[in-house]
Amino acid sequence: MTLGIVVFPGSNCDRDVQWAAEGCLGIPTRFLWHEERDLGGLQAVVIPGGFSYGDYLRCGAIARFSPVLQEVASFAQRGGPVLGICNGFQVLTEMGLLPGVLTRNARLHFICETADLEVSPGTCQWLQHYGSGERIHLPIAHGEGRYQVEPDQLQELEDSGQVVLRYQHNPNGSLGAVAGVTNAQGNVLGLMPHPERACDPLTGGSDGRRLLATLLG
Amino acid sequence: MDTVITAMRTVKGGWQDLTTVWLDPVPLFRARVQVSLRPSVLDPAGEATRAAAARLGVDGISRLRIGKAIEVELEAADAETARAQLELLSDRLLANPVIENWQLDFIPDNSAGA
Repeated sequence: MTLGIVVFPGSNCDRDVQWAAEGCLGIPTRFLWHEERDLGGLQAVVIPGGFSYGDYLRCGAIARFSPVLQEVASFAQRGGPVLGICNGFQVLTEMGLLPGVLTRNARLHFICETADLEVSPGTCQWLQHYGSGERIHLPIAHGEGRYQVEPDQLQELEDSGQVVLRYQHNPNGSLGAVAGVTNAQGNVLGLMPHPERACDPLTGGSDGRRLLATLLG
Repeated sequence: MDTVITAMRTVKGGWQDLTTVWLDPVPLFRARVQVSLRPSVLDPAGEATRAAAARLGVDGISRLRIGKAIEVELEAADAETARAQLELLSDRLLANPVIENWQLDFIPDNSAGA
């Protein structure tokens, strides 16, 4: 098992993900520069947080056209596990791998705090080590995390169990208090909270460990 | 209509075959794409600006929405091709149709240096 970690100009959580996966859980990792096209030997890919391409135009809008993401899109369509954290979630929505879009927080503030979340794993591959309805705590740090989607589409997502993470105290005005969604197949997960910052008990708790630990089987 | 002469190509196939080929001038199209948040989407930056406007003493603003304008110059064979390219650009890159609408306007050529 090797985990690929995409690195764009402006990514800033790539090394956090590496520490969480490799340092805390012993999962080998490989950085994927945005111009790379070789995903050979990788069993899963993480698109980490940060400000890819300076968040120009819209968060994730430019990243979507990078060479590495063309390959990640095919990888995901073949059923490969893909995780997008924070900016990575924004990128996945821009790519069309996940529905909806992330917009400016309702009160405009950049929010950096610990969020109370409810997990509804359903068929999401990444969340199978969590119980249904389990409450966990993960750090959030974003200015544009307000989830938006057409109301009827939100209803479809709710009905199909694709809303897998929900804020208990909606900090950013997300529709349906959505903090994370998965695709219909359950192999792609996007979430605004940072599980990689909650893998080392010294910093940020350990509620995120089980998410990355699913890669260990 | 502004035109750009893209190249003058000299083809030498021997002294007797010296031929000069003038490529057709490629028209330059100028356009502005206005991207705005769809009416159903909350615009917190617009709301904050509206609040500041009131503090400035500008009263009576009932609606203020912030969007963006993108100015584009594009070389294309004809207007139809230019429109198709700019529509693709607007729909797939400049705007995210989930939350934004866009409007494409061509700018007439005689707008003296605007």
